[in-house]
Amino acid sequence: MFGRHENSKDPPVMSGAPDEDLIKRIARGDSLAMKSFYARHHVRLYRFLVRMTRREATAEELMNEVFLEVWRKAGGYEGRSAVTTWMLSIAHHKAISALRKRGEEALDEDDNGSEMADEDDDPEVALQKQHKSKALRTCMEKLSTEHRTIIDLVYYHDKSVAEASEVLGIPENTVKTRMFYARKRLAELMREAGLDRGWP
Amino acid sequence: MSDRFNNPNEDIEALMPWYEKGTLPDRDAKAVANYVENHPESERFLELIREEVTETIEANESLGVPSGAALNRLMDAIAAEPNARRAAVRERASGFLAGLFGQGASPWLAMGAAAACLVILVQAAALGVLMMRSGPTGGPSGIDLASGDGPRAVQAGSFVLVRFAPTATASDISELLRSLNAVIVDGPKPGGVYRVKVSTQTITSDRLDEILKQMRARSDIIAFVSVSG
Repeated sequence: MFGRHENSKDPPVMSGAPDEDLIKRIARGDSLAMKSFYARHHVRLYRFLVRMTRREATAEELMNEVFLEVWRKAGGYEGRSAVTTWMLSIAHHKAISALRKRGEEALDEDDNGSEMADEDDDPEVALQKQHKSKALRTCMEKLSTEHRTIIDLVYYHDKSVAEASEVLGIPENTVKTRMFYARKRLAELMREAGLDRGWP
Repeated sequence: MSDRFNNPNEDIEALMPWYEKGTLPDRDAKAVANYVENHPESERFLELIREEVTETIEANESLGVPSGAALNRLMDAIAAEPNARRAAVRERASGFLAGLFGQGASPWLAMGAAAACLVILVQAAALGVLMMRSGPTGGPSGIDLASGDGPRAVQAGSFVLVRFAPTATASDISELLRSLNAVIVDGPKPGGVYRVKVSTQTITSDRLDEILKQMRARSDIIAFVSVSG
């Protein structure tokens, strides 16, 4: 993960260099290593931030803040966790701060935001017209930021319980229960939309 | 964890998303595997998780990528960081140039060589842009550019910023722009981004969103698109 190079115009990735080596070079002020690190991780980091903030412009701004922090703090990176976990924890912290600054209740449910406002006031009617997978995605969008973020970390960023715990700054047991209840809430939303998934 | 779940089975069920993704430690993975073996109905539970994984990945992959200008802004910000780090970089660059021009090269000679390299790079970039604009119609690889309307025509209307997919052909781009009544008015900007006029009028945000959606749906041609002020 975090290894795909999505645009040929982006800086070249030093494919053989592990993240940890790039971080060491960044700590020594090597801007070429920084460009490689950016090329390797910027797409997924950006998507993580878009999913949290629901604003592309905000996500891009925060993404650069995260990379700048990586540049500044690379010397203090001790390798106790994967570089991507460390980077996502910085990103999560910045996104939460931005949401709070923006005056949004980041962790409340149904903070749907303007970008995913329902086109139809009656979700049941709307969802019945859609394919099941689309209904599932629509319901995922309706989850709180907290629930959506844990699902993204586990399903898209392939984070283990311990890694998600570090990214979110919460105990491992809370990671498990948060994921469990996020999925449970998803099932409820699907049921409300007329699609019973048979669980819980 | 148990005290927060309603029954003991939920302890195991809570681990299944990680089991399905293969990110559980061996001990937990074995416990879940045993549970699945003894509870055939839990296969349905794993199927639900696979559906969620698929939708999560698709939702993320549909988000596109950041603008090409973001890296330039980042590198500008890094260049403005405290002197100590920049000095370290300069020291290495100076050492590299000294290596090229001989150990006895003075710092001034090294700096002069660096300046010469910079001029060559800038000229190469400018030539590249000119070559791109020198096609029959003046746009990237021959794509139509707005012309002859004067600066006011370029200012009025609604615009988006677009970076075309590296694999998109000129005819693909032309066809897409024509179908959207869009025209390139500026670019390439840093990161290969073009400013594209999508309407001669100031259109509603709903209409603009619709156009953005149409463009994003053509990810084979459009690598990135965003609203331009």
